[in-house]
Amino acid sequence: MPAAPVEPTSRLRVVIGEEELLRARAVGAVRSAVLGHHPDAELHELAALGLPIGQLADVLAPSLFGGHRLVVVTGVQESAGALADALTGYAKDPDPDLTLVIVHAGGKRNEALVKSFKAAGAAVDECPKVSSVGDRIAFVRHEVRRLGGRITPDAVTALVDAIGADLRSLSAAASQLVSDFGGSIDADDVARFHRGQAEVTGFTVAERVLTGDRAGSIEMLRWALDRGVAHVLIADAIADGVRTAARVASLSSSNPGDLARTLKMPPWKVKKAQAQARGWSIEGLQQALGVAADLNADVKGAAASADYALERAIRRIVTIRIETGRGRTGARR
Amino acid sequence: MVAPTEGVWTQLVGQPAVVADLRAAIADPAAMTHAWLFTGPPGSGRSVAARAFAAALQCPAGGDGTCHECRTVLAGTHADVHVVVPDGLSIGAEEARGLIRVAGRAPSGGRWQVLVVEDADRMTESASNAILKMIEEPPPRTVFLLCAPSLHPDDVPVTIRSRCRVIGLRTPPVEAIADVLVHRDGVDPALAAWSAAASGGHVGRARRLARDEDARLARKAVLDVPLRLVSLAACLDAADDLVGSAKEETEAATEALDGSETEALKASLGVGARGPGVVAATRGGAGQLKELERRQKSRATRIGRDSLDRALVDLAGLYRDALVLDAAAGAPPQLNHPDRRADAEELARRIGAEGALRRIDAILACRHSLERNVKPQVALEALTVALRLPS
Ligand SMILES: [Zn+2]
Repeated sequence: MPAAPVEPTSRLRVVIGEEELLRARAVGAVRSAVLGHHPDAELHELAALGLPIGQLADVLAPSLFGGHRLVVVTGVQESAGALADALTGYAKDPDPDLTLVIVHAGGKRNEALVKSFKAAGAAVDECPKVSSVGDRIAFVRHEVRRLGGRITPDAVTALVDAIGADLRSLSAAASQLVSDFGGSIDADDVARFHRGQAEVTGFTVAERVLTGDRAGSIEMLRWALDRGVAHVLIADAIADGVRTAARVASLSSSNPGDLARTLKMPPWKVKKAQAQARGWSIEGLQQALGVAADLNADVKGAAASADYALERAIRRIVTIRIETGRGRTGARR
Repeated sequence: MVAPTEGVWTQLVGQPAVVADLRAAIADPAAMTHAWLFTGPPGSGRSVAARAFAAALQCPAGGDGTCHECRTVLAGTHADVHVVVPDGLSIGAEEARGLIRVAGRAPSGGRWQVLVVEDADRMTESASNAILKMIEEPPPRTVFLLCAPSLHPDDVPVTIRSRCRVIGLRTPPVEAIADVLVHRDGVDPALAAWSAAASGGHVGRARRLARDEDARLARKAVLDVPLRLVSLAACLDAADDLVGSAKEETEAATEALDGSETEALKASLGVGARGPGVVAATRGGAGQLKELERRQKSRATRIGRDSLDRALVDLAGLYRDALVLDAAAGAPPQLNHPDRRADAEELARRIGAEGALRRIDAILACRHSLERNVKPQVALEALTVALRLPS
């Protein structure tokens, strides 16, 4: 990754690029470097969107008590003109006891602000989009190395194939692999790792099914089965997904807080279930509960082929959603 | 000879034909059959009949119910009467082999070596093969008493059935059950009549309903379900409640049992003791403790499943009542839940005979699913949704 080495003494810093994970990491690295030098440093993090100039001026003004300060202004591509001007003005004469980091999510907006920081000698952390498969492979390799491990080429490919484009998932998998299998990772380790991720995989299939993604859910299913995930776990995850969506849809409230209390579920799960219940009618969910129960029997020996039973159940649930759904659901797919 | 209304025969409720057959067998020992199969619906008293017969076989007086032989058989402590009760879902080869070893011995002091297999329908294939070998050529003083719900090949393999003399128990009449509750258990006659009528011909159930307020409340909660099912949310809640109360019942039933068994095993293994040899004993004991845990878990699964099954039978009974009420004009039919007649009528009005039939089928399908190990929660949710009332 072409990121400038972190130089904590630089008073000005630009973190720029589309990749959110890399931006967050760059900011984190600056923060820990600053704290390493100045354990008592004051930390401020401000979002540029709608930030009053007065508030920025307050944190940039010299402190009466001395000591080092770290000010991070995020999302500067969205900052108002006056705020951008204030930042540019500050960059011309920066306070030596203050590290100012501006975080820009890439693109043309407020490019001039970034240029003025660069002209003033700011250090730059580039966080470009990791978009090609080759970039992802390089990313995983870099991640593993950063954690002190090594990974074979076929193992990297298998991991990227399996996980896809989400950098956070790739990064999490890389660190899990290094901690599970030690310094050197091969394709067998990756396969074993995936078997250990059975629950996650089952829920991934369920999520695709609930949102009516026929092709995606079948693809995820085959992927999970290839990696030896137990049929029962996938069937359970589907049943759980249908039930939770049914629970959420069956209650009149749509307030996540109320639902979380009523259903005794964590709010994040409620929100996820709400997203998955979208496009479903009550009638459709009722039918899907029946399919989930049949599937449970099928994977426990009632059906000759559990693979086929899973695929059939998935197709049935997606079809039920389309045929009974609310509005023109699934139209985007 | 003990009269049909005396001694051990009083244990059988509403089964005069069965008592007559068994007494005849006692009266003529020369014509003794070595393998008996007691069948009948749950609660009709299959295992009670088998134990009473075992006592009569050992008793010099043919089952007076008062002598040492009779009392020890009925208490389960007779040296020559062995009862196999499956703790878990099945009777495995291991339990069957133990049984075979006993069956090969001559009686130690009694007249017969008697082996009672309750729930013979829960024998695994290897277990029934072992039993089959034994009853094909039984030792001269050994008698097998097997109990199963029916003669269906799913319950008893045809090979075993063909070598057994079959004693079929019927569903005991309500009056006979009420009579027993009043005269043997000292239950108030009104409560006894109500419990007997509500029990579906299940003697043990009637006794529990008569004695235990919690059992009455649990039944009420189950029978309240059909008219509650007016929305998806209500269906999901009802499923939760049914699964939850089965779980509570399981926990209550297993907790005490599990704890004392584990303590007993630990004590016998010397866990917690000090001294030479204790460490080695403990090491071997870990395996035994694990095995006990496995059996306890399997037993809990069975108790939970039985409890859910009972709820489903009660539910089906109410829909059946709706069905008969819808069909019958005028003549008051015999109801499963006479005390819930108003509910059954309301159901009949709202879903009709066809709707009731469809729901009875759904309950049957759910019972099958549970037998096939479908997760109770999943099976019950699908069921309550299928039972939902039309809006
Ligand atoms: Zn006696």
